[in-house]
Amino acid sequence: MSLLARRILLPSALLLLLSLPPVFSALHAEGNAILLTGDVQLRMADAFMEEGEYFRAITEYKKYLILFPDSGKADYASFGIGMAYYKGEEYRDAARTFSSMREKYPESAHALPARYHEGFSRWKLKDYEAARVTLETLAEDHPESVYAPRALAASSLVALDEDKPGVSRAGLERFVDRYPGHPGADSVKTALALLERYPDRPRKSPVLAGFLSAVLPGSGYMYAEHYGDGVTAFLINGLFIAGAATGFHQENYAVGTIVAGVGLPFYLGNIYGSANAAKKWNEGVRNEFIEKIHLTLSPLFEH
Amino acid sequence: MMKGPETELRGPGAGGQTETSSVRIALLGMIRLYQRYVSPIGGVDRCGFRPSCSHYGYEAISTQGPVIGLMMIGDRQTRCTIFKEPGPDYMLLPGGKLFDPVSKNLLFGK
Repeated sequence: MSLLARRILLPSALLLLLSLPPVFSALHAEGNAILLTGDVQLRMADAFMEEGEYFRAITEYKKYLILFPDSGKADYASFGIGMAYYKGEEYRDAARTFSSMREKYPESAHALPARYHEGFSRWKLKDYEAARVTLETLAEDHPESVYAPRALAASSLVALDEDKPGVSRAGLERFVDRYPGHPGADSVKTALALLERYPDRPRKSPVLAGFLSAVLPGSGYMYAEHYGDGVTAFLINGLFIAGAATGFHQENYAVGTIVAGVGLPFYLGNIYGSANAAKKWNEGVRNEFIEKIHLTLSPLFEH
Repeated sequence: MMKGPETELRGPGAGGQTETSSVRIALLGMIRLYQRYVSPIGGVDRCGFRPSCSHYGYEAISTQGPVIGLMMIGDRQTRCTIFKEPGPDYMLLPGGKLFDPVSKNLLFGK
């Protein structure tokens, strides 16, 4: 068997090996050689970015920075990393990257959009004050830039999220004064008109809701428009009150006390829950109002 | 990519804090007894909310104290019905449960 292998397989293998170099050389001759330049590397990163493969794009941009540290487009690659983090919803990394990019390349053409997106990243992180300051200072430092009106409108929305309607209104008024011919000026005026009505939005009193439920269990939930909870609270508390009252009325004090003891958390919970339902109702109205203003201003942020 | 809620959905609520109030210890002990011996009798995972009512109660008492904690339990027991549907108050979780953590029901701030 081993003799057979030596006589047949070895020559075959040799023949195969001899035939390989021409095949390889033909492939090499026909195919295009790849020369990795900075532009190729950046194009690769941009392609991943366009495909929505943000984390691969980050890798490619980082490769670019490692392979071509002295190139003229390092600022672009750093900005690309920040944008990839931003689009990948990793806002903390995005804010950090934009911030360090601005520090490293203050004269770059991408420093301004980096600042703008840094503000948005901080907004997404609910770091409202930092977001507002970043966007406001951008609008003040570069009032002629294309990002300034958008930053001003965004800072007003951040102020609204902070529950500072006065600051928000001031920002929008500044927008109208400064950019009367801006295509989004009409949206800003509509948002301002909405904002005028913000203090007069309907509200429910948590105190009144709690008081109502203390007098008649469940009525506070009803007042806060949580009707199902109101009916449940009325039935549960009604049964406990009836059970305890019957126990005491029949001079069965032990049973009356136990039923009242078990029912007490439900009664107190009905007061607490009613007040909380009113609070949630107010938050719902406020969020709806803010959402309307966001929607009104959203055309400003479309690219 | 969907990201889950920041709050822990199940598990002990106190985060390893040492309990000092005897009422609190008693209430937490009762909840633990319920979870270990009573709850499994009717089958597991019947509560429509996340965290489940017993975990919610445990966390409420651990973090808010016995008085507010008991009120929050009473409120949750009133709201925990089969008629609850997802909406602005209750976010639907992937498992079909409604997200209703203690942190969303605090009347007096955070």
